[in-house]
Amino acid sequence: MKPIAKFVLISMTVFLLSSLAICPTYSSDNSALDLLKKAYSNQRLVSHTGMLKTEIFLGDKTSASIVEIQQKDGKVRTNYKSDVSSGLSIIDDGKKTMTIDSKNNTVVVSSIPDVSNDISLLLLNYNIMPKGSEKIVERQTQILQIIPKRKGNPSMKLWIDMKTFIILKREYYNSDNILVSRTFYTQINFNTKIDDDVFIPPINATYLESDLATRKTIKNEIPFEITEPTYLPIGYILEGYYLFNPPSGKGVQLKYTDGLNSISILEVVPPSGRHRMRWRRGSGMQGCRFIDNLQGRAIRISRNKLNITVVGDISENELQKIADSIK
Amino acid sequence: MIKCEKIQKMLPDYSIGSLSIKKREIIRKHIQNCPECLKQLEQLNNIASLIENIPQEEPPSYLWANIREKIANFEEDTFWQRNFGWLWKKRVTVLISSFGAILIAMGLYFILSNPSEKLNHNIYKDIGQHTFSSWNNPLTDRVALGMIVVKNEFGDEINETNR
Repeated sequence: MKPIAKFVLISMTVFLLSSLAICPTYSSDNSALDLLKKAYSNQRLVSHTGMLKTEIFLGDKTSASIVEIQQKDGKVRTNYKSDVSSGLSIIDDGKKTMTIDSKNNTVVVSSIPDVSNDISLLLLNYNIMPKGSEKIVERQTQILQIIPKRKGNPSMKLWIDMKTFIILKREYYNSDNILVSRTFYTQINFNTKIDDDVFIPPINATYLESDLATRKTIKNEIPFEITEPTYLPIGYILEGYYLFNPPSGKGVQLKYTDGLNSISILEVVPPSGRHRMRWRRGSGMQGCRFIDNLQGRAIRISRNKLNITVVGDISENELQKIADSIK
Repeated sequence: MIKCEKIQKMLPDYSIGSLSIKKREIIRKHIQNCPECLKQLEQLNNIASLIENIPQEEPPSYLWANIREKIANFEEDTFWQRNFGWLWKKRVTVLISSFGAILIAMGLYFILSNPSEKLNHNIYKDIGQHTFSSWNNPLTDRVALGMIVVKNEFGDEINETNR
């Protein structure tokens, strides 16, 4: 080998190794990680009141609302002040939500499923990158971007208050990298006294039990054999089984997560008679329906005398693979 | 006197003895004075005697079984023909009308029950369940999520926009 060629080869090797040592590929920034960890644990702890604006983007439509928030001792009250949600309030005590509809004088109570607060799974599947700083409601924030390590998963931008570590602005991008929702404070106050009564729903209202999630529970409460997929996209693990109550009886939700995004498999006994699945047949699916929605994609299939819906903000191809693996 | 023409019409029955006594007497008196009608009667009698002389054939052994079966079928046919014979006669009209009625019934069923909308609703409920189950994740935008879940519960407005 000629000396010049040797020199070029050695130079390139040294450059490559030093690059790897200085910048360990495309990984998370340590200060950004620390900041995210603080934000992770502080969200419910900091008492405050404020006004927010939230926007949901639906293709060519935008749905927006002005929202008043009151937070104290881990409890949060959200009052929607405009849009079709106007007049609605949600009280969240960490274990259940109470949705108050003042127009109809009803309170819908829904148990909140437990979710792991372990950030390690998120860090396995996403990179946390600092994206500069910005002032939100006159407070200094650090912008963090949560970027998926594998394509086909959602991403997020967070504006974290440098003093309290609460998130003052969020933007959520779906797996197609389309902005789905944006919420930001327009006003915040950390010194307002909040009355405890704020977190008590009206007594004279009609109370309704939601058919949405109940708390995490064991498999054997389900009156049928749970069918599980043999395929999951890389990075997802089973978070747990949740009971829910569809109109046709008990149902089970199998929830898989990668730390930020989640995939659900909802299994229910189909209603008897006319509402049974009668969709297109073919490609091994025993009746299948695909929905593409900004909240995520869903496939409904019929297996083992069950109606099974696979939901998640992942690609149609991945969703189909999961559905096909359910035997 | 009765005309010969009328008498000759009755002669075949007279020759085999199937007329009433009164008619037989009338014919007997007539042929005593009418050689023409008498001649016809003699010819008829000759034919009858010829027929009687033909040897009688024995019926095959299965004949009665066949006849019994045909009688049974004949009774069944007459029942269906009596009650629903008109259906068979107007079968094309009945077929078209039935097909039309089935189409109308199916149309009404789909309009009134709108099963696809109910199935869509159920699948959106499933999406709502999935969405809500992330409520407690610290990074979840609960304000936006609450709006989505509330709309799912109270109006499905968001879900109407499918790409």
